Amino acid sequence: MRALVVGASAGVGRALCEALAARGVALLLVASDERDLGALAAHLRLVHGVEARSLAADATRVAEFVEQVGKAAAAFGPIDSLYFPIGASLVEDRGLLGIIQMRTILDCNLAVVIGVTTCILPELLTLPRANIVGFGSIAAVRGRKANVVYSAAKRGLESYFESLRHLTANTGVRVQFYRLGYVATQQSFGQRLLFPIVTPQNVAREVVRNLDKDIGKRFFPRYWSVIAFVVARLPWSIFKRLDF
Amino acid sequence: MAQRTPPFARSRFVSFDGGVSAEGLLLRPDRYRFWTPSMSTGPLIPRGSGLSYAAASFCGGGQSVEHCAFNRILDYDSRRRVVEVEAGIELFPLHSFLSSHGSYLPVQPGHGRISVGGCIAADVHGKNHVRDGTFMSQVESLTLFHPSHGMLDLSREREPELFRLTCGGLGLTGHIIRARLRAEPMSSTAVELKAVAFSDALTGLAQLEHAAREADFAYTWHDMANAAKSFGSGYVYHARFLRDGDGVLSGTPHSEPPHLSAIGRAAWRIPLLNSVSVRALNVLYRRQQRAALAGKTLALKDALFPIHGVQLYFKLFGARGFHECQVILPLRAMGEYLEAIRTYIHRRRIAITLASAKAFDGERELLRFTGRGICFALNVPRDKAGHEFMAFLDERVTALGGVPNIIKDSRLPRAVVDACYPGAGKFRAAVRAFDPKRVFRSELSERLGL
Repeated sequence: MRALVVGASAGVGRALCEALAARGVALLLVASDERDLGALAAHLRLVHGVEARSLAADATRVAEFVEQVGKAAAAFGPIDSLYFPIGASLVEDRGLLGIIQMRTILDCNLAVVIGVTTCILPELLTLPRANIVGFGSIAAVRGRKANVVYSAAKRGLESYFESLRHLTANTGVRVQFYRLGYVATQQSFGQRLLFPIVTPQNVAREVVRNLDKDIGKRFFPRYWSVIAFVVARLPWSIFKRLDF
Repeated sequence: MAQRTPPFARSRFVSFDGGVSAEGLLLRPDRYRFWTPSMSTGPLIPRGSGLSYAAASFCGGGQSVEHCAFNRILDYDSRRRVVEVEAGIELFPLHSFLSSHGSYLPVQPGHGRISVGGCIAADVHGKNHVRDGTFMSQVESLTLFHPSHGMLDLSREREPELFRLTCGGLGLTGHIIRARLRAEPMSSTAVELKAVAFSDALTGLAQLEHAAREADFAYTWHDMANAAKSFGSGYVYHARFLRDGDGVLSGTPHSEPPHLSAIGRAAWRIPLLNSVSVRALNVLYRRQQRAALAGKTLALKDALFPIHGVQLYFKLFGARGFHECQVILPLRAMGEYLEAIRTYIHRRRIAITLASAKAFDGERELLRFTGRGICFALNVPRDKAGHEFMAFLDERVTALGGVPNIIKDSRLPRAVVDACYPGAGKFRAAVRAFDPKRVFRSELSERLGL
């Protein structure tokens, strides 16, 4: 088992790397900072005895990023699983972002995922069993005045994974997409949240547990499906008054 | 999920003994880009597991920077048994890793949730100070980050003064990011623990000095629940590594240690420890020692981290908490010290809930808790009588030429520290020379004028 994890250095990505390494999966880790990646790769090699290589690349330069990942993946050897716990958000994302910030959010959440998947998908399609796992957000359930571009990017990502699942139906590639609720990462740290928060380790355990299942798209924690159902159907007269 | 600046949480911090609380900001960085030189004026203070008895990792209105995400093992030289870790790693996972390579760290405090960075900053001691020294003795080098100085590599050869200031520096020189620690061969995963009963404290302390030279671990337990004839009686424990094949242990060798926090410790509002309940608990404790009197086999992890099994004890103090007075006194002064305690508790109802000793050796320097003599620790409930008793002990320790442990007592006055630590002035001067703006500050450093 050999996996590529894009967005590996912190939060869900790091927890996922730990969980996969504990199962003996060889890992190619991709994130922006060599120092974080080097520390994680060394730890995984020492503690779990797995092969762990890393690539520091800038997700805001999509073409370069995809090319670098493609080369690193080719050098790493046959990959059978792709994980995309990558993302970026800005607190200023309230409808008036500049073009560079807007592109950053779109590229980090959506474009690099599509680019890397497109690069490696032909190889995955030749395998009897492969996985592609993406991570969305409950922010994408219904657009609101906060996280405007982020929500759009995550909803776009959700659509992309729906297409990917349809595209790979009747192949060995299993496509899964998690719509994550509150997770204890830097994004949620210090915020007052309405619902319980899960740890990145909880998310990683859930992902690893479901790897052999054809779950398609799923909320995690599962109770978010009820909340999302309600939020999506709130009458506009009520929704427009909500400040969240 | 990336954001450009690390977010913070407004938090209420509490010292583990329950004595000090303050509001401040908690930062929990998880990427190396956080450690970037800046013009920060603080007050900042590193925070490991937040388990110091004194308020060493927070400051009212300050920023506590938690290191828990920097908890990875970076390198291991199996030939030299040197392990490089990020300083946020807790002792237990590090022990699990080292033991899988036949190594262990001889100097470790009693709970596996304590972080390596905390151990260095407090320069803690282990189970045999005479043989092993303090935590610093196993630190080969470390990487320190200060916003004004950037990343600094420190060792006994490179920046030796700053290295010595940082080990036992209470976090006041900056953030300890990484450390290289020298482990020792672990001859077995189990130890044989034997208890020997003694009827008076001084006999026990003499036995302790002898045991510390012979055994791998050595310490005492004393019954000081009342001032009667049995005052100070107890057991001296000495443990040795089993030779391979001497004993087989069942159980899970690497099960996670229980969670421990200052907030969790204070979960029960009502204190349950008092002069009556302590007597009952001591009777119970004595009954439990029958196996140890005959000699019992113990997993090394249980010998290294004995608090895992008894952390309910701390909860019994309730929300108000407890006092710990841990001092080093010359053996010749112990008789007078113990008699002063006995006389005091004979007059007043003080519940000494725990009394324990270890033999110590080494040279005193700066604010490190070390020196030749007996390290004697007492716990009492945190109330008015307990506070007065601690003030009485301050006076006795100062008069007898002892040293109180700064990290174990959240109310220790500056005057006592200045009287007992000849290196306090030098410590202050060195910290100010390195960090003239005093970016790193804690409640502890403010109280002691460090």
